[in-house]
Amino acid sequence: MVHNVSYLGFIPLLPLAGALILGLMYLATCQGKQISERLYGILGCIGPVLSFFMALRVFFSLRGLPEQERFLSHVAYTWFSTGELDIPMGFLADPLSAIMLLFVTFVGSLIHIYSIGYMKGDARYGKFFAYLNLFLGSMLILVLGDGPVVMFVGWEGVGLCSYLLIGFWSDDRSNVMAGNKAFIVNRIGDLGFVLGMGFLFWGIGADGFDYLSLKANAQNLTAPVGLVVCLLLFVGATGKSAQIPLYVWLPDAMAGPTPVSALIHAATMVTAGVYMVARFSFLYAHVPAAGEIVAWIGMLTALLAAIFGMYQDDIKKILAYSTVSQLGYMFAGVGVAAYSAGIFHVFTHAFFKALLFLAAGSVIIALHHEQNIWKMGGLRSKLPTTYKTMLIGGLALAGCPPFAGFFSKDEILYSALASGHVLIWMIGVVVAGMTAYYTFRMIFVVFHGTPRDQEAFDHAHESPKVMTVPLVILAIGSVFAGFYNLPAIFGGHQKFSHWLAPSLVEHHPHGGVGLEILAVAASVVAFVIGVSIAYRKFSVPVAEPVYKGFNKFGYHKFYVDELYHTVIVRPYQFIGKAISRAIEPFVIDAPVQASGWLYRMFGLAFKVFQAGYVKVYAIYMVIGLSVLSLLVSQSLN
Amino acid sequence: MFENYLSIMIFVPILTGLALLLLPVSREAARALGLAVSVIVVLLGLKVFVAYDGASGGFEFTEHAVVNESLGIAYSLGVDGISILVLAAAALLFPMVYLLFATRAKGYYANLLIVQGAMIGALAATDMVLFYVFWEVMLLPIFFMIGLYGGPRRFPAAIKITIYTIAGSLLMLASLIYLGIAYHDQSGQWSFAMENLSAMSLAGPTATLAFIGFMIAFAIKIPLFPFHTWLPDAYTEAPTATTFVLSAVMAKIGVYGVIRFVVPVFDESFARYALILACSGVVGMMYCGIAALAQKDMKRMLAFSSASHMGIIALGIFCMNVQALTGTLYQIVAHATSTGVIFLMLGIIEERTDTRTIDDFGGMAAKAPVLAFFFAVAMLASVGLPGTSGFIGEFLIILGAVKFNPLIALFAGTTLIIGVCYMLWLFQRVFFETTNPRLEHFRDLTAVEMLTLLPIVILIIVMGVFPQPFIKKIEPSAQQQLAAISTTTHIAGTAQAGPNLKTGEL
Repeated sequence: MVHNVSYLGFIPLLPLAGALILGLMYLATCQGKQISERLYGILGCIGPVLSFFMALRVFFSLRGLPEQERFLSHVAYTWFSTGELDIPMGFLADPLSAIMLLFVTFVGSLIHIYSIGYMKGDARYGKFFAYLNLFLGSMLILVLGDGPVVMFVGWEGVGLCSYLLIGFWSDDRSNVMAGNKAFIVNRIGDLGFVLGMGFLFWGIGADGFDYLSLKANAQNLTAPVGLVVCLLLFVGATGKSAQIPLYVWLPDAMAGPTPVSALIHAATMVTAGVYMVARFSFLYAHVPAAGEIVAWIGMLTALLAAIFGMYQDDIKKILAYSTVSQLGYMFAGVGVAAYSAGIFHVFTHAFFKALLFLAAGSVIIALHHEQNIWKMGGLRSKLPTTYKTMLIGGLALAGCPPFAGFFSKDEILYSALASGHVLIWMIGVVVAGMTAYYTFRMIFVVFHGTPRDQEAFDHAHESPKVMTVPLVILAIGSVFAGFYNLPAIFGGHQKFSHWLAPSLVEHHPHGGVGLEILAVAASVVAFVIGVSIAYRKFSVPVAEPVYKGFNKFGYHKFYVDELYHTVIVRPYQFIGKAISRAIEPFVIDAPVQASGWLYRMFGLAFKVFQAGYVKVYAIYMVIGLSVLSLLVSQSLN
Repeated sequence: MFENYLSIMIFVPILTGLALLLLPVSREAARALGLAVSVIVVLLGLKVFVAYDGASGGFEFTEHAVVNESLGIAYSLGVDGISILVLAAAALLFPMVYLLFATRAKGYYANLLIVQGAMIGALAATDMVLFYVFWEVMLLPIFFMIGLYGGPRRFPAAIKITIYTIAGSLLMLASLIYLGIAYHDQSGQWSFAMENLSAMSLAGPTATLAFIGFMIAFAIKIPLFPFHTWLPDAYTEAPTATTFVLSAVMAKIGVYGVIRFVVPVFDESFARYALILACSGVVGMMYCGIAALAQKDMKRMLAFSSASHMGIIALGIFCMNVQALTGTLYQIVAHATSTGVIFLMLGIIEERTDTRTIDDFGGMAAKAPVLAFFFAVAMLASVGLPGTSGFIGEFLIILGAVKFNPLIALFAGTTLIIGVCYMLWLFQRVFFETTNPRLEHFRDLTAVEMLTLLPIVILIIVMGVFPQPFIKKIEPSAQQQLAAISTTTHIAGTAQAGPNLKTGEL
């Protein structure tokens, strides 16, 4: 049973309207007298906050319904329709999208508020909030869309905003190029998404191309087509959610202002791929082979990114690789068909990763845009609130019980173990240890020890309330969000998984208490080992290390960027040049030019008729045409 | 009141243009007159567009008069779902040109008027001889505009496009004569009316030759790979208004011609060669899109971009399903708006800076935020971002291509990637990075320029968000056109060569 509620459309519309208004205001005034930052800030926050309250309303409306009726939908109008294809501009709120809605609007609103402080004094203040609003609106379309095509609108929309915001400080060439890279790499994934939609449509889409119809007809999809669809859609997910082989854009995306990194590249946009796989659980559940690939790609990405994360100098890049790594966990979760576990990690990760980025932003601002951790040190005393909140975020990321990240990560690892993916589980445990290590390497180097740059240290000061209050709120979330899905072993009832049940097609594996204890114990041990190594190495004053051997290889991220540049970018540019300088003039155009030359020779012979005036040619043409038609009519009669 | 809207839309511009050529008129007066006529055409075009119902899929606003009874040549006009959107583009886009570019010679405006009338004539003609006449008339003004008012290398460019097109036209003329004779052989009467010719069943090698003749003529106009080499030169050397006319409307008449004439008349040959033609479309898209990356001249880059898009647009015809065909008909106009507005802005930029070399720019967004915003919207439509006009058509074409042939769809889909590569890089070098000292005194769009371009920018968004009112007008005719193929084509395995995704046989 699906209930129609017309206010659903307003949830994305509010931030979009905000983006339009802010954008026009900025465009109208950017070259004259500027509008005050306060006005932009307030206007920028209205849309997200209102959307958050509407998301709450959606959540509670759903809760008030019997479990199998928890579907709210609204079709605004027919978007486009031709032949069997019928795409309404429709929105669907079910338990899955309601959860996504809640944290996207909640974290999104906090980040908007934080940005009021962070972007202070920026010449393009208004533009920033317009883009942020546009981003949030797109994300909400992505989450609320009632079918893959509407989802794709949001999907591409967040890609665009990502491009705009990464290159926000567009005077610097490298920022713009990072934005381009994000857009282009995302587009490679989008190709998979579009083709996947094509196959899905011709398979079972003729009777309705929305999730509920597709779910109802899923059993009609034949196995080969189902596999192709699942894999193609997953290609889309690897682009948006930065998985192997398309993860390369996310670390570069740190070129954008820090709130952007927090909002887009940690808490919301990059989780879209996980959301998509969960959304299509009714397909993936029938194609175990696809799930297997998803899980492996996810876990290998988690491992690779964790390795890179151990060597980064830039505080934001450490966090960026941790995001890639955590996304890998999420895919491992949905890959082993533990969709609710994957989404639960999306949920908790949104809190602690937004927190970590915003706290990092607070450090960066305090040090006047210094991001190299080897120029920091001992900041604990100067930035007490930032330190405490970042520590909480770090504990959550590192998987320290009972912080949020512990429960959600453990749920994924346990699901892998219980479903028989022992190797994936083992890698996952190792990655958990590495996560703890690089997280606390960062915290120790930045906040403990002695200042490495005394002058910067002396000028550092704690951020204003508008920035620290969001930190505190997110810290609270990072502590408690995990309790929402306590498993039985800790005396909980897995409320979160039960809540999601109507949206997902999943079977909870029953591994028994023994396996559960094993999984928890392994995770805790990994955490302890990771933190203690970091403690031994970095809690004391240390200088910036020089990397050798494998460490150097890791420091340079296995030279993957260089590899892509040599194998893909350069040849592509070369082909472009080859076409326009060699193939086009000397192969394709050569016969044309030759015939032109013949024509000229021919023309020389008839030079008598050539007056040299272009208008005369026209007369010739008219004459020629008349003669021709005359000849034709003669011959026909 | 009068009812022959189409005739008025054809002949008022043409006659005004001829009068301008003959009479001693100042260029200001010529421009004012041109603008006035183009506004009249806009109003009539709007009337036709709004009043066109389209539910039946048949012709509306028909006009008919016999020209030559013994040969069956008639002056017959009409508009249906195949032509309505292209016709609207040809009718509605012209005032911008008069508004934006003020300092041109009298002949420039005269030629613009004539080309507009001829294009509308070609789109409205339902008699093939009439179509052919307008088709030829279209070419002359283009020749003069490039040859007289173009860039430094204008003359070779003008010659090249003219001879290339005329070569195609001659093939078409020969094929057309064959069609007339074939109809006479079959029915004992003479006729060049569309409905009569498409009802014939043609077979044999001569029919195939005639098909090739038509196809080459249209392939040159579109242009389809490898017949595109006139395009970069012509687009680059032509004055802005001509590039605009060529890219926004005239190239589309080539696509229109294939749908209108080739598909129904040569249905069997068409179905047989569809895969080859589809390959040509996809190869052209990739070839020109990759070549665009290497261009140093902005206009030349966008010329290649335009050719690249035409490849995808043409592909939609060859997939032979309603989604792809509707997508093509939609994309024709979507592309006209996005590429048209980009070429116009390029013209504005060139007038202010006297350069088109990409390296001479940089940081223009800081100097001209409104221009940058408009350019960005058009760029996003060009790369097919959802929410802009560019997405709908491209999506439908790729969707249809999946059914036709998944491999073709895969390569067609790379347009998503190829497009952003050159576009983002162009945008970066022109609008982002540090401001080039040459642009120190660059000023943003004037109020007139802004108001001229704004309707198109809005249309780009509207066509992305509310496409259905447009699709409703084109879809029934597209269905009919395809029904013609499937009822007369019994060569199983060609018309439905694609895999059956329902049964899972890949």
